[in-house]
Amino acid sequence: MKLKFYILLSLYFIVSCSLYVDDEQPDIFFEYTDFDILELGGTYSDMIITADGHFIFLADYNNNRILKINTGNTMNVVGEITLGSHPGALDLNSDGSVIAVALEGESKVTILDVSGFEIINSFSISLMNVNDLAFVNDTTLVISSKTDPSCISLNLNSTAETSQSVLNGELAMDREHDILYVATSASIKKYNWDGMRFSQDSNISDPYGFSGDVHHFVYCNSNNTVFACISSIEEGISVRHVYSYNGADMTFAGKYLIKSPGLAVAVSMDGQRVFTAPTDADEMGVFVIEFDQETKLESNYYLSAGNLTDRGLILDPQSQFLYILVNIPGDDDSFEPYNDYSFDLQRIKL
Amino acid sequence: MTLITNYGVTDQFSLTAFFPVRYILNEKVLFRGQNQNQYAGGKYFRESYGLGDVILQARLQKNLLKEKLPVVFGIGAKLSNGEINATDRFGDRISDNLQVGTGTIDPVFSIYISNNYRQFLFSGGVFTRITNGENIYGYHYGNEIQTLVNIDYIESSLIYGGLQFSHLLTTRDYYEYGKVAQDRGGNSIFAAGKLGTRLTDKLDMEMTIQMPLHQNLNESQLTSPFTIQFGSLYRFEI
Repeated sequence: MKLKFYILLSLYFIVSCSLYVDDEQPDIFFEYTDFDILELGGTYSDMIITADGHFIFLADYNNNRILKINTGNTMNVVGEITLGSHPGALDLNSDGSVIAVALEGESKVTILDVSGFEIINSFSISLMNVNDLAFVNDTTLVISSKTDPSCISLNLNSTAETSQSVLNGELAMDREHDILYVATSASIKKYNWDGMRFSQDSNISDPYGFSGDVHHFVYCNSNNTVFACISSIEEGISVRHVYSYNGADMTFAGKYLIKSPGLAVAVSMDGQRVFTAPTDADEMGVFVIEFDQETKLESNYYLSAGNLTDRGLILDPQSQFLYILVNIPGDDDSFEPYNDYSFDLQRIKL
Repeated sequence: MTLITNYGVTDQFSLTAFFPVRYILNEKVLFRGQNQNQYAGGKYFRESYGLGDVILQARLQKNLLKEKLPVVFGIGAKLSNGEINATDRFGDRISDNLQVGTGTIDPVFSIYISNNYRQFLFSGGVFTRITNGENIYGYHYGNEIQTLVNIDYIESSLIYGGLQFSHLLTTRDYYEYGKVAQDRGGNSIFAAGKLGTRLTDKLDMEMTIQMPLHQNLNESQLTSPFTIQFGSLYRFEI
């Protein structure tokens, strides 16, 4: 009797531990997937995507060139142009036929033809340390500098340069209504274009309350809103949101909590989905955070392969893919000079 | 390294103590902002070392099936003497699963059966560690159950070899008073080959090579695909 008991007890142990299933699950809001990455290396200051979503252009700041990336099934570099010292900012004209490139390292703006991917013109300007530019219309650019207090406009036909009463900062243009928004170090400004000059709008946004460093600034025409990624350069003030303002009256339109300053933002064509790139990783890694524009609440997380960067996030026009510039820290694991902060292009399917 | 001491009180009753000495090194690359002490990110090391939790066990042997089948029942406790306050170079306490100790006193049970057939020794057993609650930091290790089946071949008094199959089940850990931990727990089935020699009447030397046959772990875990162990056994009289 005792023997049977011991044998049964042993069998019970062996069988029960084989059959036991541990079905406890942690709260995971994302899945590990293989990253879709185009290895590039380099430090990129700006990126734009064509209206059909087939090509991305990257301003390769340290290598003084513009890269053309095909976004087909497998991303690849299909062209590169070396054009001058430190390309800092890019913008596409309204029909997507030309790209304007602001060169931060020399007082120059270069115009590229998109289809042929060649330089079609180059303009010397009076500004130093250019940090941003935007097409006002197909013949006029507005250009901002890090060091000059005000912006200039440049007529591409006449090559005439005009000093404008526009504070420097990051630029976002509403071409449909000839309105320029500028994210300065203190607040968001709105300017109206009369065909020759900008004049400041009577609607003025509240100041941030701190001296800021603007990482990215975007206008969304479907809901007439601007989005600003700002960090504080003052000690003791930490910014944890991406800010948005109503274009009409410059009132505060919403704060998107990402727990560290935003580096870049992208908005879907319908204005409902807001994608943000935070500066800091969380415990598990670096995530692009998607928000619902109406509720201002998080709706999705997308795992990035590495640290993100200023202006390093764009959405394809069909809202099918996100493209982000990522610096994978493991890649910097050597003592070679200039090996730090080399970015690759990651594609994320939405 | 584990020092195992066994004292036979009688032919059927013995006391065993396991003294694990552990060195744990974890190296990873941080992203920006993941550790405020190393804000920019980069390589980050965590290490701990020292005597881990000592296991004390009493073993009672019963010979069943008309004294032909020896069954060893073990009952004991894993103590909580191991250090659980190791810190990184910034003075911050490192994760619980990188500490050499667990911080709780846990009961340990085992059943072991063996039988000789000609030159073969067949044996099997079940070992469990049932975690007795959370440590002072709110971390609760998962339970552990291991099932073993051994076939040893003893060629002579000098040399022996064997095969071992084992199934290891660990359940998930909990932390911060109830959150389910990631990257912990799972099922593994291992196969191991063993080669040993009895150098003298008092000294055995043994080498074991273990590889996983099947693993179904929760999320991604750092586990060794292949392990080689060296062991020695010395008998002496008090």
